Amino acid sequence: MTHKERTTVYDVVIVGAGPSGAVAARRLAEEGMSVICLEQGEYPDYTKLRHSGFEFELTKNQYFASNPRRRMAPSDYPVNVVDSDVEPLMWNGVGGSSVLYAAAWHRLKPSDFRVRTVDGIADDWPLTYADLEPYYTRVENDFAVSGVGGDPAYPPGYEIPLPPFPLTQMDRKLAAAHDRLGWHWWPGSNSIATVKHNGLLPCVRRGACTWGCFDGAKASVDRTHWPTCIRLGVKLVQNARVLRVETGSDGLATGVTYVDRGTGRAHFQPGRTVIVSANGVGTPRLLLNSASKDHPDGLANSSGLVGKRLMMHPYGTVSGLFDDFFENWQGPYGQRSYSLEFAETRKDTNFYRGAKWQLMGMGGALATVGTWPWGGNSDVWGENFHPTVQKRFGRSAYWGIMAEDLPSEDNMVSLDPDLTDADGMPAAKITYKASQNTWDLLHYNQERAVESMREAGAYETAVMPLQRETGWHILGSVRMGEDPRNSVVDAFGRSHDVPNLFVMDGSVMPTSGAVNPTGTVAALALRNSEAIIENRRSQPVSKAAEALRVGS
Amino acid sequence: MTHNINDFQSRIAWVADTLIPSDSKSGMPSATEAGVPERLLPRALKERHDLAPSFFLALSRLPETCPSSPLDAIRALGSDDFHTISFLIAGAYFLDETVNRKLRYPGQEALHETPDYDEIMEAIERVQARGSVYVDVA
Ligand SMILES: Cc1cc2nc3c(=O)[nH]c(=O)nc-3n(C[C@H](O)[C@H](O)[C@H](O)COP(=O)(O)OP(=O)(O)OC[C@H]3O[C@@H](n4cnc5c(N)ncnc54)[C@H](O)[C@@H]3O)c2cc1C
Ligand code: SF4
Repeated sequence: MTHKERTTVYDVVIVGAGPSGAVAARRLAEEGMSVICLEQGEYPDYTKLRHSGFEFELTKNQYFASNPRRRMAPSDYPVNVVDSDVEPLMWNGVGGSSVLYAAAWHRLKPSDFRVRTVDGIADDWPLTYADLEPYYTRVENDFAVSGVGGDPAYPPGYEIPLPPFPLTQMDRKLAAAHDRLGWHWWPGSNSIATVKHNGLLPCVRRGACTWGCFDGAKASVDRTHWPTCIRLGVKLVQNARVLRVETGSDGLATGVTYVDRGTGRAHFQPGRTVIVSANGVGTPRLLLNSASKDHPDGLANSSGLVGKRLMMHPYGTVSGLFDDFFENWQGPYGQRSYSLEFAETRKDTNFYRGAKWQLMGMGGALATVGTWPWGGNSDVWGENFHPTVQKRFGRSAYWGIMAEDLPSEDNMVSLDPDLTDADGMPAAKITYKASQNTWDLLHYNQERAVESMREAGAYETAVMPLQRETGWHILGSVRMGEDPRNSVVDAFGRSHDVPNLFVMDGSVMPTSGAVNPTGTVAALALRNSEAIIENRRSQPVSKAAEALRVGS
Repeated sequence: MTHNINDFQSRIAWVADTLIPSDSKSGMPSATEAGVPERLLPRALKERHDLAPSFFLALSRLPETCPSSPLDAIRALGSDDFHTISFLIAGAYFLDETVNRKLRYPGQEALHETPDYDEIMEAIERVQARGSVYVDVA
C-alpha cells in the first residue's frame, strides 16, 4: 500500500547511486536543481575488509564478493543465470559497482562509435569520439585517473591527469616482449590516485581493489562524488528499492514508487524528471516492471528493445609461468599495463572487431591454488600442492582478454516469471550466449597472447577460453539511437516515448567497444546532465507532478 | 547447529595432510606440521564463520580415520563440499608466518615507491615510435 504523506517534489529523481547516478546528481545539483537519489543498498562497510594481514585472501570473497548470487546481501536482487554463458557481477549500494571495480580506466576508440560505417556490422552511435572527448577529459580529473598520456592507440590529445605507478618486473617483461614483436603495449591507466586528489589518498598498492579499497585511493563514487553531492544538498535515500517509474495520463513520468527496505512500506516519490541509473540489468528490469495499461510491454518500450542487445565483454585469460621470482602479488589489482594491438577489425582474421588485453595482479599464496585465473583447481591437491604453489607464486603473470561483444537481440534481460526479490519485485533473467564471432575473436587473441607470454620468457602457458563469472561490464540493454523504431533513448539518454525520463548508465551503449566502460559511462552521464541543464526551461513535465508541486 | 572442532580432530588431521602433504624438495611443511589442526584452522573458521557449518557437515560425512584412498574419499563428497574443505584448509595453512616466509611472501604490504620516470619515458617512446594503433574515422 502506498504511504500517503505529502512528499517534496524534486526537480530530478535518480534511481541508483553508482557512477552514472552520482555524476548526474552532482552536476545537476551544482546548477541548483533539487535532486533526490534512491538507492536500494547502503554505504559499504570497509571495516569488513581484512586488507592488510594474511587473512585477506581467505576473507575477501565474503562481504565484498562481486557475484550477487554468491554474496546474497539484503540489498541484492536475484538474477536467474541458468540460460547465460556469463554471470553479471555488481555491487548494490552507495557507490554502485565502483566499490568493487578494478578501476582500469579507458576511453572508447573513435572507431567504436562508428562500427557500422567502418565494418558494415552492428550500429553507429548517435555521437562521435569528438563529441564525448571534452566530457572524458573532465571525468578523468574527477575520477583521479593515473597513468601516462600520449598513447598511440588513441588520437592525439589524450592526456592523463595523475602520474603513473612504477613499472613492475611483470610490466618490464611484457613491454620488452612487445617491443620485439612490434606490438602495442602501454602502462596501465586506472582511476586510482597516485597522489592526493579529490578526497582520495595515494594508493599503497595492497591489491585489494576489486574487494573494496580500505586505504581510500580508488575512485569509487561513494568517496569521489557522494560527499560533494551531499554538501550540495542532494538527498540520498538508502535502502530504497524502486519498484516502478510512474506515469500520468499525459504519458509523462510523475515519479517513482519505492519500498523502504527497513520498514517494508511503499512510498511514491514525485519528480519533474526521472533518471534511471541502475545499470544494464537493473535499468531494463525497472522499466519492464513499470508496465501499465498505457505501456503494457514496459515503460519506454515502444521499440520492443528494452532489455535486448545485452553485451557483457566475454573474458578469457592466458597465464604464463616464469623461472625467475618477481613480486606479482602487489597492487594495484587494476591493470598494470595493457595492449590495444588487436582491439579493432583486422584484414587477416575471420571475425569483426577485437579485444583489449590487460595485465593484472596475480594475488597472494592462496590464489595460486584457487580457480582464478587458472580456470579450475581440481588437480592442485595432494602431491601436486607444493609444486603448484612453487611454480605459480611469484613466478606467474596473466593477460586478461576482454572481447568486444557485438549486439544481438537474442541476448537479453527480461523479468523472471517466477522468481522475485524480498520486496516482491520480479527478478532479472539473463539470456546470453557468446556468438561465433566472440569465440573466433577470443581464440585468435588467446593465440597471440600465448605468443606474447612466450616472448616474455614464459616456459609454460595456460589458456582459459571464456570464464563464466566475469560479467563486470553490463551494457547495451536500453540502446540509444536517433530512430525511435529501433532505439529506446536518444543521444542524450532521453526516452523517445517519455520525454522526461532519462537513462544514464552503460545500458544505452549501442556497441560495447573492447575496453572497460566506466570512463564512457561517466562521460555520457556528464554530457546528458548538461543537456538536461541546457534544456531545463523547455523540459516537458507531467501535469500530475506539477499539481503535487503546487500543493507541497 | 554449532560444532566443536575437538570432535573432528582426527578427521581434520588426515584430511589436512592429504590435501597438503610435506614436500622435501621445497622444504615446505605438511598441514599438520604447520599447525593447521590446532592453531590455524580455528583462526580460519573464525574468519569464515559463514563457511563453518558446511565445513563440519562435510567432514562428518568422512570416516574418522584415514581411508585407503584419502583424496578420492574427499573428492567423493562432491565439488561444493570439496571446495569448502580444501579452501579452508589451504586458507588456514597460508595464515602461517613461517610458511609465508619460506615462500618469500610478505603479505599485501603497503608500498610507497616513486616511479622511475626516465624508465617509463624510454619504454613509451619505443611504442610511440612504432606509430599510431587506431583506425582513423575522421
Ligand atoms: C568486480 C567488478 C570489476 C569491475 N572493473 C572495472 C574496471 O576495471 N574498469 C571499468 O571501467 N569498469 C569496471 N567495472 C564496471 C563498473 O563498475 C561499472 O561500469 C560502473 O559501476 C557502472 O556504473 P553505473 O552507475 O552505471 O551502475 P552501477 O555502478 O551498477 O550502479 C547501479 C546502482 O543502482 C542501484 N539500483 C539498481 N536497481 C535499483 C532499484 N530498483 N532501486 C534502487 N536502486 C537500484 C544499485 O544498487 C547500484 O548501486 C567493474 C565491475 C565489477 C562488478
Ligand atoms: S592497491 Fe591501491 S587502489 Fe587498490 S585497494 Fe590498495 S590502496 Fe586501494
